[in-house]
Amino acid sequence: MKKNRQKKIFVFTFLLLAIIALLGISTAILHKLDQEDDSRSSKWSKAVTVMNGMADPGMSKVDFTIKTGGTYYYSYGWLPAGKTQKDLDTFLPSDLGFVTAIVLFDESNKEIFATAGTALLADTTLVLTPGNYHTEYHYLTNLAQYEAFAGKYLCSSYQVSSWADDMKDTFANLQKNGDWTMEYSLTVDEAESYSIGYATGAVLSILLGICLTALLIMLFTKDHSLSSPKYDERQELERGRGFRYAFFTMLCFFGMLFLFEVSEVIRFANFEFLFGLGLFLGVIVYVVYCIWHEAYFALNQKTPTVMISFLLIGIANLLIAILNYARGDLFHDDHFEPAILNVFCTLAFLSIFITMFLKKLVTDRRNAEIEEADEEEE
Amino acid sequence: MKNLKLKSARAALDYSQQDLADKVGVSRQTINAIEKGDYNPTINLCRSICKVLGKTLDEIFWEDE
Repeated sequence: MKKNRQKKIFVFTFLLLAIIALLGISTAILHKLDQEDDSRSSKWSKAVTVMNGMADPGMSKVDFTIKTGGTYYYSYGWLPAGKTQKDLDTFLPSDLGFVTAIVLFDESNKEIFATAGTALLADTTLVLTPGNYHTEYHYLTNLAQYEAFAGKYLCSSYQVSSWADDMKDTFANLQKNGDWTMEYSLTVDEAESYSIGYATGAVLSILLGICLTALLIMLFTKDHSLSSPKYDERQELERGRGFRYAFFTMLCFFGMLFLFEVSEVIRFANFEFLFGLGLFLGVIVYVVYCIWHEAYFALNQKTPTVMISFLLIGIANLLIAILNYARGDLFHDDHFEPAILNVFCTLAFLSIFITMFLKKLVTDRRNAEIEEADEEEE
Repeated sequence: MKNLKLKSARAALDYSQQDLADKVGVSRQTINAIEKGDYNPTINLCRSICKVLGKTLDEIFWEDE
């Protein structure tokens, strides 16, 4: 009777939490959909004529609105018509009759960001509050115009001469006359937003995750209860040894990382990746040791169900890893990216299957030998 | 050292390793490890096994001279 009541209370609580979590997730999704307008990419062409060293028009303007405050990736595209990103390597600024410079202003005409020349192509991260913004495009044809622009927007007055020195050759080699149609693009992508609705949605999503985990645990245990897994005394002993080996593996790995970092001998990935890798190594050592010593699965656990769930997780990680590889997200600048953790996840789950398979082979052979020996004794 | 007394006592009652493990409340692998001599059980587990098999500690776990 008591058990039945407990079960009813659990199911009720689970359903209630699941409904709350689903509501929260819907809020987050709606919030995300509402923000779609903030991610924009505009593309347009501008014909600029240079006659006797003077550009016509000398300047143009582009407006955009930010609805939600947050951190944004802000990038400009800049290419002559008919050219693609691939042509950037062979294309020289001196092939044109002018240098493009931009300034970003907020609605009170306060300058927020400015850049010029090929630096336009670099991504910039900006914190933007809600409001109207506009970008001014200046077409500079000589060094005097550049010095005036640099002094006003790019640097302090005493730095102008050194900035101008860097651009001296570019301006000297510019074409004096000609018509150029330039293709400009402006991309404002939300990087991170600050919203209570979104944060609530995220927290409630985690809550739903916990509910689903509890449900899975109930499904995967023989008595369908949330009681903790039961291990016998030998299993407890082996699990303790597994923890010890995993701990020392992690200790050695992080110690090694520290030495590499201090001595600057090697730096093949960022900190997030290396930290994750250390944890993975520890988990793999622990799991493989426990499986080999038949102490991984609890007495009240249904092994086939757990194995199937592991297989599904492994396959899901493999698919994500393949997708990441196809998109080139695994390596960047000879460094591993955090996305490679999916590859390690796949390897971890694969190692579980390999260990179980090898263990079965060894146990079968050993049992056969014992049986043979027993028969001979009889 | 293999525990043949345990194995024969279990066989006498026609219990498989899994049957004995279920009655004692441990895994089949633990019973297997005890029989093969790979694991020395605690006194509590020894008592549980003896109770299930209807034997004394001496009969199952005491070494012959």
